[in-house]
Amino acid sequence: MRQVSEQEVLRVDGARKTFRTPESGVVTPLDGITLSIRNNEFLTLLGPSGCGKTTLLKTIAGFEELDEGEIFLEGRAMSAVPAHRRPFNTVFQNYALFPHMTVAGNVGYGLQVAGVKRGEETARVTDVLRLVGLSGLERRKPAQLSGGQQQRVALARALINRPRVLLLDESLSALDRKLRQSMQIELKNLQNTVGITFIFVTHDQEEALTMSDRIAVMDKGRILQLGTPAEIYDTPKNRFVAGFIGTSNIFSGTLAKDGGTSRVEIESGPAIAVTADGFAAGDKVDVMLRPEHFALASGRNGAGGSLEAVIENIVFVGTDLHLHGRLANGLPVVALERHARGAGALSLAPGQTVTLHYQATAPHLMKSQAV
Amino acid sequence: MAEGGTISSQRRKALFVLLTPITLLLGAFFLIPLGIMVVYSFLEPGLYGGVVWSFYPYNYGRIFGWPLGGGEEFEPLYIQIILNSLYYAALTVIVTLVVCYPVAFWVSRMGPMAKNIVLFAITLPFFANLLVRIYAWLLLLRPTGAVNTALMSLGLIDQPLNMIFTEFAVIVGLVYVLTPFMFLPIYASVERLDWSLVQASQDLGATPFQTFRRVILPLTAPGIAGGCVIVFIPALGNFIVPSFLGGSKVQMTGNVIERQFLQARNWPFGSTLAMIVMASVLLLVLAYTLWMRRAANNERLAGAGHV
Repeated sequence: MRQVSEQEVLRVDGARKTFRTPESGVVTPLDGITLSIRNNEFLTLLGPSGCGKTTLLKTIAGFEELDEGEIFLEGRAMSAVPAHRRPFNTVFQNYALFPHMTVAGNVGYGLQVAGVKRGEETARVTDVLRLVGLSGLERRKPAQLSGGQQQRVALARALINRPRVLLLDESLSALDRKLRQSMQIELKNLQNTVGITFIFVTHDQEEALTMSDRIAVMDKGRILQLGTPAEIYDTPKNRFVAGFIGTSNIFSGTLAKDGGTSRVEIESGPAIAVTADGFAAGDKVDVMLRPEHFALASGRNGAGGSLEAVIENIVFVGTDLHLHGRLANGLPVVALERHARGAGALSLAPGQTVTLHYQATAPHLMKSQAV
Repeated sequence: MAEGGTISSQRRKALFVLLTPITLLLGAFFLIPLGIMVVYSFLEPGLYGGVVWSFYPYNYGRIFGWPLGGGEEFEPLYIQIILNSLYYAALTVIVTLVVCYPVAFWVSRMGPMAKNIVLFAITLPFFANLLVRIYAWLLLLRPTGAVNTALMSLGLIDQPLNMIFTEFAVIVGLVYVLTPFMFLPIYASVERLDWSLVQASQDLGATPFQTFRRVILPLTAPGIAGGCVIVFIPALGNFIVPSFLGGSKVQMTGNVIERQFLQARNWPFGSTLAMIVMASVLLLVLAYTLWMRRAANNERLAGAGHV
């Protein structure tokens, strides 16, 4: 099993880059990014399109130059090193397989240009194709492969050079959902086997949660939060991160403290009971409640609170029911109930008023951002 | 299935209607004249033009030395002229290729506006008559022409350079006339080139030269081959450029054929020369096709070749 060590392999230091658009506007895909990547970890750069994650990946690969800042590989500055001398390999978004070469030709390319002997090349190509489950397809051309197979060829081609860091640029987004999910697991297993640092770029939060050791959530050229998937999901730093990862109910309000209890007072709405360490009374805050924090039954012990909501829509997703409703003041709210059959089945209908109970530890407080 | 039959018979009818005009056109204006040429090349030239309808293979003998008879003699001059023409055509292909290939990359990287202007500029010569354009080169290259005047006034040369009516002038003319035909197919293949493949090659550790040789060149090869064929064929048969810029010193098969038809009024011999030009083009195209097929087979069997 792979060990993620604390040892730093790659460091991005104060990376800044601006582009001039044809409409003579200015975009800043990298606005002062500092990031330390650990040996053997699976780090995901997550963000909406245009947040700078792909640009960051390209500057690491060496396809783009930084305006300011530096990238260090084990302490060695990379800016003077051209792309073809960097010990990083990329799995491209559209795979970028060489259409005029066979699978074996594509996978062996990195070894051929490095002058590896034919015999060793063949052996290593066979090995890496077995690793990605493509044995026997050596002589096919990329056009004769399915999307999933092409993806594996791209992966094998990038892995064969045994890079220090493997860069994956939205590499799963072209696959259909089912294949994507199985590739997520495979990719994770593969990383455990080969023990290479992976930097994965995606806009798909589910993918990020499934595969990563750590996630860097990016927006507008900055890293908003860096942490494990659980940290990002449970304790997002601000409204943007909370909204980007998973489904969430976020309410803005003012923190009020009353003896031992605290609550967030929502404008012209209910108050939400919270535990408010590190915040002072009167602070403007955002409070987040995940849909699964709500329960229709108030059976549980401990301090908590509840919200009254009118159900507008019930969405059945198999394991769960998503209840879309509105609070009395019109704010939308989403709650999640486990789907049960038979006697436990819920008899819910749109229009019905329900009470959503939550525990006092559930709401997560975030500093309010100026919108 | 009756309905399916109706649809397919309708489609066949539509195909027939659509293909009839082009078939008639090609038949009337291409195949029939070609047939006449083939037949004429085996006929005896009449004394005052025209032909005598008897089998007469000696037109070929006059060029190749066999079979001889009927008063025809082997004239090695014609083989020399054919070889010269092949050489000029090959040189034209090489020069236009060397000029167009880098420019195609440069243009493909331009902004949309600049790109349109360049492409328009490249097609601009087609708006002017070919003879006028060739005549302009006559004015440029002659001893008192613009080039010599400029070079002399700069003090680079004392005597005017002898450029007009030389091989050099013919090559310049052919390159000038045929450059757009080389540029457009190459540009089309360069424009289609997926730059992420170039990045992928760099990413995998290939030096710029390796990337060029193993990715860029093979992927733009169809455009290069297309351009070479499209330039080579008209260059080989060209007669306007050598007759204007080559004077009487530089002969290409095109001029000889023209003279046989229009001055010597020896249609059979003119047809024979034309057949030989066509045969050499066909042989080259055949060789090229076989080579492409073999390259594709090798690729498939052996994976990619080594550096």
